[in-house]
Amino acid sequence: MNWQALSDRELVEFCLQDGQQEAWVEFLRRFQPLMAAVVARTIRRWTPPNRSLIDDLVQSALRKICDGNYRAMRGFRWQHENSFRGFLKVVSSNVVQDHFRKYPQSRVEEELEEAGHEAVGSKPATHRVEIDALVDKLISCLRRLLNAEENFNRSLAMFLLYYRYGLTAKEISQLYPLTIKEVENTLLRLVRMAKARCI
Amino acid sequence: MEAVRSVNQATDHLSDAQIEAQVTGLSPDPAAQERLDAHLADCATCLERLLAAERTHLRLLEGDGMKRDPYPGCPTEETLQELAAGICAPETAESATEHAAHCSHCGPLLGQYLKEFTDEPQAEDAPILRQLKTSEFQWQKKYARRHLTVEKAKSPRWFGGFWPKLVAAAAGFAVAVGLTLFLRRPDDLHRAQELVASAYGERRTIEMRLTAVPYAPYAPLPMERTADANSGLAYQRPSLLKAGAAVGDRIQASSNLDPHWLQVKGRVALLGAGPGSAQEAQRDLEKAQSEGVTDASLKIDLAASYFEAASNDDHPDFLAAINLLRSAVDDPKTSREDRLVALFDLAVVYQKSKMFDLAVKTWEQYLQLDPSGKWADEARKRLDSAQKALPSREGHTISNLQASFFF
Repeated sequence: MNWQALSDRELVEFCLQDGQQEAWVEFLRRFQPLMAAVVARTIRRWTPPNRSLIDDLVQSALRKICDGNYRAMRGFRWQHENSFRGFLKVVSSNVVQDHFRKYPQSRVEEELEEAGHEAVGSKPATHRVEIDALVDKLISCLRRLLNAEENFNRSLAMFLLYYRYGLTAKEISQLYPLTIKEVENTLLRLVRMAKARCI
Repeated sequence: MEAVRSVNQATDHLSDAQIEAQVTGLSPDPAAQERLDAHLADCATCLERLLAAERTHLRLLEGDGMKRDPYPGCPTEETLQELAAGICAPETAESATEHAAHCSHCGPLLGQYLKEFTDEPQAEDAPILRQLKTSEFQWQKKYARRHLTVEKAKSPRWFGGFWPKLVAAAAGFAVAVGLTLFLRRPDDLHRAQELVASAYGERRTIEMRLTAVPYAPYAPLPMERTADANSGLAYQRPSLLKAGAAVGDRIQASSNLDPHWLQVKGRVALLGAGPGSAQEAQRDLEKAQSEGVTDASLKIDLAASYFEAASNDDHPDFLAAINLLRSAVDDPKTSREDRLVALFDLAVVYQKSKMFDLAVKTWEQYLQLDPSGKWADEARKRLDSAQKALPSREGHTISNLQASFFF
């Protein structure tokens, strides 16, 4: 059997039905890098990751999906070919968050973290109010200009996700059934429209 | 092309001054603006640069960090996680995204999850991820043996004693064989696809990797072959002969091959690796594409045919292969396995084109996503060879290659 040629779905079904060691080895070969990467990136919210913590949390995530005779995996609903990877990302992320809830960072680090979190780009409150008012005005203006378009809410959401919350065009294209190019074209059109008629 | 050239003669790209002028509203005359827009329509790099500049210019709009607590109407954090992971229920996804765009709690949180869930390797984590115990093959093998076995349901004891069990087993076997023969009549197309995959495993005559094929070391056919050698080689590849015969049968049955059969025919020609095979494969695969097959697998096959055809050319041009492979890699609909294949092939093409810096980066990206197995071993060897080629090839960096080559 050429395990590497199997799709994710075929592989998971083999693992659950036959439970052959080779299938599970391929499962680990294929999915461990994804789980470890999500674990490492999520750990960064609290502390720089280290090898033993990542290894421990990857194993916790594996235990979580295999508990109760693979209850979580058996109950998984396949929406599309890559959806199992999405499921593993969510499980891995939750394992890390559970870990830090159970073993919180020291108080000092936590306070620093909080300060850092809120301090990013923080501005005086009065200035903030002015900016919020400006953004509200811009949104209303764009909404009025786009009102006749079929997907104007979507276009406006894309504009805000990109310019206000710093998502990339690629990330936005993962949220909608759109290509990166389509997202970028919408962003360019809207920013030109906003500058010409709203700002 | 002439219009595009006039954007910037030196690099074919917008200059920083042109980007700045666009951002600050100092638009050129209408004709120049039209040329600039035409360039932006074609050039992903310049469009990305312009948008990034616009974002910097509009930084006033940026949110002021994340509001820690959710508002009463916010979706659950689980919904945002699933949205970022691409597994949110479709009926919820659009409304949750639109909510996040307007919410100072959910917007930043969604952004954070998207960054944590990205499939793109992060340079800062790469060294540590390579050294994990859980990424070692031996550890994985041991863990699978010890912890990952499926409990099989125990069958009820319907019959006691040896003979009744034997009779029941024999009857069950006969029924199973009958049912299998009845229910699993081979689907001709599927069988032909399997034969092509086996043919690839018999002898990998092309450098490129195709989708859903087993690993085989690259073993090109000799350049000059006698008739005897040719027929000898054919007999060493029975699956390829059978796949060719299956296509022949199909053509006999219907002169108009459907696009999936055209893809099989193209693959057979590609693996045949004779004179003109790549061009024949190209024709079949382009026809399959024009008739509606647009998935990554076809793009990769077509890229392989362009690559093979260009490789035999005195002045090889790999641009078409690069563009197809990049589009397969970037397409969010491409499955993870197909994306790996496209990435592998992209690195091969970069290396063949002597763009060693790009080849190195692409091999590293590939190995992040697929760190073990035979394909990974080959990738590592190729990476090593690309790295060795780097110092003596300093002239061939991205910066001084014709930028239009990439886009």
